[in-house]
Amino acid sequence: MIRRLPALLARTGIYWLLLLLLVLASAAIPEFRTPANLANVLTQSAPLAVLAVGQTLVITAGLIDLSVGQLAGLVVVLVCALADGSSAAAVPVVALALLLAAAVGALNGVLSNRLRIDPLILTFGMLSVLQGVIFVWTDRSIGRAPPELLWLANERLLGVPVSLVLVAAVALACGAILRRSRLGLHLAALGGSEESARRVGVPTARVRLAVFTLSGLSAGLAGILIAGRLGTGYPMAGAGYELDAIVAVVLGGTALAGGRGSIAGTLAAVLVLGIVSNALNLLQISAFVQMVAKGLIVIAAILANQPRARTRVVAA
Amino acid sequence: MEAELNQPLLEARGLGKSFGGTVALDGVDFAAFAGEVHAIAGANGAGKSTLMNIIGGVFPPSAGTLHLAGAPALFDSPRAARAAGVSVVYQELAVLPLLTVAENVHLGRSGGFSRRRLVAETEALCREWGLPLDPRAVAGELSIAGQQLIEIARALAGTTRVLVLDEPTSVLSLGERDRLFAIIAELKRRGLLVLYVTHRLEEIFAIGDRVTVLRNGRKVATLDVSATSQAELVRLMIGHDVRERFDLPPVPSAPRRIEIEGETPRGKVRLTLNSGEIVGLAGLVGSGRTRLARAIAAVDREWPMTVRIDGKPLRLRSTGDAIRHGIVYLTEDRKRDGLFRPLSIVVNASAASLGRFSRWGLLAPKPEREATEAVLRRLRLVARSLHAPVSELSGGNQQKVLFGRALLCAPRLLVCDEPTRGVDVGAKDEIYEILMDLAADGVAILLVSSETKELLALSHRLLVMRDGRIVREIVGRTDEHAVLMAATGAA
Repeated sequence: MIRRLPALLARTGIYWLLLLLLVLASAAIPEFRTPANLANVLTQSAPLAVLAVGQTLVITAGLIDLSVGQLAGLVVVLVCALADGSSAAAVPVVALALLLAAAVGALNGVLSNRLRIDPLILTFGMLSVLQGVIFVWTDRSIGRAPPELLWLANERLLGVPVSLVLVAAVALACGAILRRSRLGLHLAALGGSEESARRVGVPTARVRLAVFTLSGLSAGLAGILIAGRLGTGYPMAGAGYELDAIVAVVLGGTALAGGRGSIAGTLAAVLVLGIVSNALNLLQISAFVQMVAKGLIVIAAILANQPRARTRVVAA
Repeated sequence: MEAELNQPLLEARGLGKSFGGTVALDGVDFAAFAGEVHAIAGANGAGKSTLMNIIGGVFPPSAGTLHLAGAPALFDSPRAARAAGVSVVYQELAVLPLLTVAENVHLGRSGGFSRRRLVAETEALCREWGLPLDPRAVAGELSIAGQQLIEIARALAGTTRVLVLDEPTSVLSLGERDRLFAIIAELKRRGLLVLYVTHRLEEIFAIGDRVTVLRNGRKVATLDVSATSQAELVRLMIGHDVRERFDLPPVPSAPRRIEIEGETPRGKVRLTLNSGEIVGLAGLVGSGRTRLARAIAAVDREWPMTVRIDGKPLRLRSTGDAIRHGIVYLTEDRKRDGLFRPLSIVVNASAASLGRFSRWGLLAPKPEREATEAVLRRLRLVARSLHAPVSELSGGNQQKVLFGRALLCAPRLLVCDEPTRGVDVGAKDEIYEILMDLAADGVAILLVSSETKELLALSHRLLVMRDGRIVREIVGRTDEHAVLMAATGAA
């Protein structure tokens, strides 16, 4: 038991970090601990949370999906341009956007299976394609989000942000997939060793297709939330989200090489990133200094998170 | 045997497989029945692995068919084989270390899923078959023997009728081996067919009912184990009755002695080489030849070794240290850890001795090229240009480039692992000449080879390895039979 303590601390490190940041920020910044601001942190974090939860599945399977940020961006532009503020169009447009996002994800899966391209390169290519499509369509903000999405992304119901309900639903669904479904077991197997997985009869191609499709779907949902937050179809809306999502997944304790994933850890890491940025905003620290701070925190947290991996390298 | 009255459970008809130009399996017929332990025996390269991979659905045969209970069995994937009831436990275990035992056992099955049921089912399975496994344990924390049990449990969890075990005891202690044998006996009693692939003859006699012997990709015979002997099996594995005798030349007198001492999991190893001597290291796949060779040259440090030259111990903490002391390892796998394939011949040859050709970190290209050219000329390398990518060369010439790399290091001890693998006949003879020339120049050579004939033709002395230990030293008059008997533990 004692021997496992360092491992246990490493596994739960992100929760301690979250707690520490909450205490520090609450003590140092009076505005931070107001209910309105705390709710604000949650709504601001919601799109990243949805993306990162999806990416947790992808990384657990030993894959990576860099196209999710631009896919979310495409959904933002699509939804705002097509609905253009109309309530009547909200449901069909959202349905269409989610379908498109899932289809792009499935396309990633099919290409990865058929062409056997490294997913890093494949999805980077897809990132570029999607970015290009957005800019061919428009180089400035177009359309308006329907009021339902504004409500979804920004309002509170009995004090609880509505977007939090969506995040919780996505997290519970992905948690159930990871922990309670055969697909989850297959994901972990594929991430652990593709060769072993294949030998024991895991249908690896189907698993890859499923996980990329789910990833696309989560990007679509994140796009819906971003559209609601921005209110308009801004072509750069999704830029950079893919890297933040990967950082959150790894901070949350999911092995970057695959084989083991934690949805709760990912959510905690998203909150850590959200609190840091919110607290620095409240302290009126410039966005550029915030970038430096975020980078340093990420590096420090990753180091603290994998003591065992480091000793292994030294011993080898 | 009464089972022979029934239909065979697994039958191969004219099974063949070739990879590129090499024929790995050629027209193999055999039949095996439910409720028997059927051993597949053969020397290195006899086609055991190829046969097993076809049965397990890893790749399809290029000729012939496989039948399961009379129906043609075309497995296009391991999944298909498993679904049909054929499970293979490979030497390289397919266990996912981060998952629990229960999760590992039920991987790859389809149907409903609940973690609690998974654990309950695994518990019941282990109780039923007497497998000492905790379903909740994390697989990576189990011993190799425990992980092997996971694979067996996985096979038993499905509807397995044929269980193929590939050298299952190579990683087990004696106690673990007895437990495995007890489980195999139980599987047999309940009507499974166990295909037991091995080159450990004593195990065939311990648990086998019948044995099929392969040699050079062909089936030689299927025998009742009770009606044969280890000596007969060895004879069938080698193939010729007529014994070709070899007289190993006398060991040259020794201006320099290289003493090697080390620790393997199975005990101590000690060997001594004289300068100018070629010592052959024989043994079956998995006997630890390569691991010993790599340990001596400090390529791996899993087995710690002490090397003394003329009584002076060397401090070898890296391959670089070893090279500086003139101990050079020539890999068995040129592509993986030998060549820099896109780079030029010169760069490949001089890679290990750049210190000689540089001053203050800057390379002097002219001396590098001239020295390399001289060495490669001596090795009679055939290439259109020394600046051409090394990947253009034939296998034999690639091997010469690696020899050139070793020679540029001024070796005192050359550890050669399978120096003629993937090399055509003409180049083989040239490599033999190179080895003999080097020995004549006073280099001590430790030669690892799966080809017993090659060892007999070149060595002054033979060391035979088995289970990570050197079990015999052979000098003077001997033959292939004696070497294989020692390597399989038959004598």
